[in-house]
Amino acid sequence: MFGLSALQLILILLLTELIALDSGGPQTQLISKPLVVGTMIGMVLGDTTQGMFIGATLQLMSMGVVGLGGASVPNYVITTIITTIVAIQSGQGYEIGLTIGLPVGMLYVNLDILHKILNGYVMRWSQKLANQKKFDQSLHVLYLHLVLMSLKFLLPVVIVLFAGQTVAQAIVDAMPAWLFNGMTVAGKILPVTGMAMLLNYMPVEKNFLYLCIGFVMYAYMGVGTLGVAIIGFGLAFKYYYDQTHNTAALSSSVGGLEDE
Amino acid sequence: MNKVLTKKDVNRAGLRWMVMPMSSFCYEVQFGQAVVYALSPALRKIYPDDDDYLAAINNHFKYFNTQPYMCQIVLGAALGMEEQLGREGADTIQDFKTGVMGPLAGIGDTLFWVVIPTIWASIASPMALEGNATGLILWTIFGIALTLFRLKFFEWGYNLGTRLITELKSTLQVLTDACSILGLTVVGALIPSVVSVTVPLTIHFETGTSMVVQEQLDTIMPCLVPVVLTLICYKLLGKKKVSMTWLVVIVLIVSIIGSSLGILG
Repeated sequence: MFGLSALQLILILLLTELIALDSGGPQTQLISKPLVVGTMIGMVLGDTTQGMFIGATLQLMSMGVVGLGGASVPNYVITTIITTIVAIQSGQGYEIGLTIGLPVGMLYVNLDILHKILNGYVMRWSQKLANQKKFDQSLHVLYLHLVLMSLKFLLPVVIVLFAGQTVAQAIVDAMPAWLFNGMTVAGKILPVTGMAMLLNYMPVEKNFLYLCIGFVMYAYMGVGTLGVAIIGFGLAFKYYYDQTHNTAALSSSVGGLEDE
Repeated sequence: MNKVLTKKDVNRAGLRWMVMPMSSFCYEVQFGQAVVYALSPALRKIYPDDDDYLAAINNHFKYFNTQPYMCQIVLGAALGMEEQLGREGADTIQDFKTGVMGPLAGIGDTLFWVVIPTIWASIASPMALEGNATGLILWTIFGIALTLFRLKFFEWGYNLGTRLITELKSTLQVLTDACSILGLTVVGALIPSVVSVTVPLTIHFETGTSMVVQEQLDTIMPCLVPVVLTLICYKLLGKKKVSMTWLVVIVLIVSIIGSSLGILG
């Protein structure tokens, strides 16, 4: 099991369960982030610095990847758990970890779709019980969702940890230089996918100017991301101020037409 | 106006919402089950009669989806409507829920899923790469504050009811646009800052001179490669309808081929 002690194993599985319950429930943005998870796994394995480094790398890689409106996207938190464990326990750095972590995070998409289909059956069962006026049972059935959600996160991690050691070791041993180099380059390009996804959610054509402003400030003028964020906030505030003051003037002259 | 719910009942419903919104997500009704789970005890108190209660539950077992933080406000208001209007309000409540779904998702997704996480990740991650945990600690403090702030959302929705959301609705589009201006400005800076791929190729001519390709590219525009790659991925995801998973596979293949040929590094 990647040379993990029983205590480390329990802590990792507890953390995974916590992530599952947070991702499925309150979504606090406190735990289920690659940077946080990488650091915590690193802490458990006794190499916080490397854990934080791997977490930060994956955080940047996954930036912008969000499953809006129920879309299924690769799960970079699961990728982080596995990448950090493999990287630290094999002692060979994050590229090696990524060759195992990234495919697992991508296979998660299939589990996610299966989970959302199964949830439909749970719903029909629960609604059926409610219609039979078995109200308490109808609510208890819904706890199945928490079980399914936990399985969706625990299964990939457990499988890699228990069955995957020999496989993982074989991959690590057999990994040719071209694959290693390819992973390094992939780590540099993958953030593009998140950026592209963000841009698809946002009104790019309407607000192309602001994209240019941010780019020029960073690439040509060397302003840091925090500086750019401050300018962005200023521009956003100006837009909001102008618009709300215009609509105030408009609605006072148009009067009662607001109710359509 | 009949008041049957105590402050405790309202808060309980708000907390129950946070148990399973994403866990119970299904394609048919999306958050419908989580809504039923959250509101059931409060609805039971409003409708002691079995048939009324069942009708109320079935009304909420319907399609509902907006950004999960925003759901708290909507459901708080919906619960207030159940209490005030009773069974006669069934259609009004359903119309209200579906009516505010779209606009609230716009602002919620932009603000809570795009702008805040992206800005924080872009500040905290580079720090962490240098072994500095300050960004991570600030993130945690901010996350706790955001969570505490959010706990109030359900109660606000309940207390202010539909009034709040109707008032919000008129400025929501403007607020969403303002957020996307902030978001796009930041994304503009993020593309060159997080995508660090270059072209390490050197072309040797027969005359004995050589050309470093990256230097030539830099004279055209800094960070040209990241910009071009972002544009390609943007078109693939948008116009070509390539899924995220396939896009990652494509990137992996391109990276492996590109690095073996020495074109990308």
